[in-house]
Amino acid sequence: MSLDTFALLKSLSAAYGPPGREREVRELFKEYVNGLVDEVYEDTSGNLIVKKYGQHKGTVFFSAHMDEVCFLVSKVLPEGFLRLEGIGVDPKLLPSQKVWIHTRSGKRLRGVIGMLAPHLQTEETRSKLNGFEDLFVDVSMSDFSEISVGDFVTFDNESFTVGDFFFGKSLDDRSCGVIIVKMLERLSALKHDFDVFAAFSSREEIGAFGARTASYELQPDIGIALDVTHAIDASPNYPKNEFGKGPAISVGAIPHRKISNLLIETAKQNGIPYQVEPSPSRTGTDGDQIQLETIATGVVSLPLRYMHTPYEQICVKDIEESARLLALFVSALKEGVV
Amino acid sequence: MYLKDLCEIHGASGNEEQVRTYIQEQLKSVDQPGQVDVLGNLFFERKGNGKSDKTILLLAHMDEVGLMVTNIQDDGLLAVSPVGGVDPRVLPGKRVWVGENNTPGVIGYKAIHLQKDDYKTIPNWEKIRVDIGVQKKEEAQKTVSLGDYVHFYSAFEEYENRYVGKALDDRGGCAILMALYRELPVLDYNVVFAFVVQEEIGLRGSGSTLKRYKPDAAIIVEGTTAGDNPELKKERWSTHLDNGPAISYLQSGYALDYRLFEAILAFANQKGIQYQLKGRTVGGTDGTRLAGSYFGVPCAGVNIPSRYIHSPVSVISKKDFENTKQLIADILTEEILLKALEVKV
Repeated sequence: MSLDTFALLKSLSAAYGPPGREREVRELFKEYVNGLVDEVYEDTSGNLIVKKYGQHKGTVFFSAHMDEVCFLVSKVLPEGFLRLEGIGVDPKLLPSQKVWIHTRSGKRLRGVIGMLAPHLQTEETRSKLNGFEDLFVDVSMSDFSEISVGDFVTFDNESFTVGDFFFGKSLDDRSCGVIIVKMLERLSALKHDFDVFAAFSSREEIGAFGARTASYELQPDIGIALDVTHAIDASPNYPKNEFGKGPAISVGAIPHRKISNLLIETAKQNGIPYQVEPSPSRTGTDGDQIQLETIATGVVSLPLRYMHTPYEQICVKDIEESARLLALFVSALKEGVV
Repeated sequence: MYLKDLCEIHGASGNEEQVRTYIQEQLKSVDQPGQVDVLGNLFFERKGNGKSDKTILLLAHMDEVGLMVTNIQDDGLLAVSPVGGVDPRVLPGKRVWVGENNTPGVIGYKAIHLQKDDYKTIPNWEKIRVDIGVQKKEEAQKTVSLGDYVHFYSAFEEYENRYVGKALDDRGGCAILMALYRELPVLDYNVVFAFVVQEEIGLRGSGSTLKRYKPDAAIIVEGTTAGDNPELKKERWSTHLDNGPAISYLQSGYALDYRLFEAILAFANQKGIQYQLKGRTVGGTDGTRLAGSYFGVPCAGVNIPSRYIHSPVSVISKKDFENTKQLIADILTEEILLKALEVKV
């Protein structure tokens, strides 16, 4: 029976998983791939590695990262206030945001990032951009004696669905993990010569360490990084990635030309919608690390709006189309393709 | 729990119907259905035993700050303007409810990766847009109309020492009035409990109370600013959580009646009831309107110190909430206000 994409997204979005702390997310993916693969294991970097064997004619590897953007407690102030440092987060999103503080003892405590009421603002503070040096977390409602410097802090929110759209945190990049799961489901009904490896990878947001070590260990012939790309909001010099129009296939320096062409060819042949994303330099995805292991790399991206905010937006149709494209791509791979 | 229910229902200024209906439903079983006037204010009257013909008014406002849809763009995003004092900086990345059908939406914000010069500029109303998950104006128009109210999405939470939620200004006051209406015995004089509309857009609702009742004095029960956080020097704090109900002496537009002010302080001191003086005069309350409408009513302000009001998440002290209710109950049962008014101004 096919797994419900919305249900997977809901659980994954709610899970806690800053870089290097991906256990909750890993456990979920472990559950989802159960029965779909031949091997599952965790490696020393915290990646969840899965293998689904074909005819051993070659190996293709997929990577989607499990970690999320987050904050760290940088100081505990008297009377129940904290200062934060951010990892990949715009401080403009923080005033009036509810957060969770994850203590080293494993507790999850409430925090509220407060902001002075308009009544108490002055001419000067009203027009001020509050950075991490100004922002604070109110933890006076919690037993804050357990909080210490270095504790991770994540957004608290509640994901929701509108039609084909899903809104929630950490869809970068767990929605691409769902693409892998859905691809594996489809592969169960398809013949494929290549063995398929996948990493639900760790620590992308601070340098894609997980994808690097996994591709080193697995030494695949082909590596595909699955990540998200900006939907709708685009620089005028780039095409606008739209929702519901399929995955964005990167073309450029890092994506291997043969792989990009094969992906595009597969999409065309099967009538799968796709978009093209020019990548003149680094892609900012696991792909940059996979390539360094001398692997022919492709980068396939899911359009996502409001990246690194508490409510990222994706279109679930694009997940399904991406999974379909990748399954057919795998099934079309022949010995000696690269 | 009144406070939880009150904070989770929606009622920006001019849209208080849900709040009014809730209060009326909860209180009608006590002894009367309550009275609603043409502006939407809700009144409950507790007649005295006849020994005195005086009337004391307790007043809290039902409305909260929010947003209103002012434009539906071709791309399906909604432009909004504030209803009451909302700082646009509290909005990016927050979830909201749009319109009567509670259509979910988010105030999306451009990804940090795509920001250039705008990284250093503060969010303003030209940048705040509500995304309801549609891509075209026509799709948005199926669920949203111009003028629809937009309310903050924020679950109420109770902790050992704190309440966390939206609209604590002034649903905290409403909850106290509701509890007092239930709990207070019949007194020698009359007490009117007024739940008023449209405080946040300029104290619009409260004045009409005086068209219906002739109170001799009033207590305004408000969620007032705190500001006791690291952003602000201690000298500039308005109130401090856990230090008790905040008594105000002067506020935007009105010097509260000194006889009532002094009497409340003397009473609290004598009884050993914890209180604090509000350290700032910023912010108006319906007291300003009552003192300046019709014949003018002497007012006192007894407030619940509240952090981060006018935002999707505010925080109050449970102890302050209980003590504010108790102080007002004691003031009423011991007839502190009427005695104080025997002195000439």
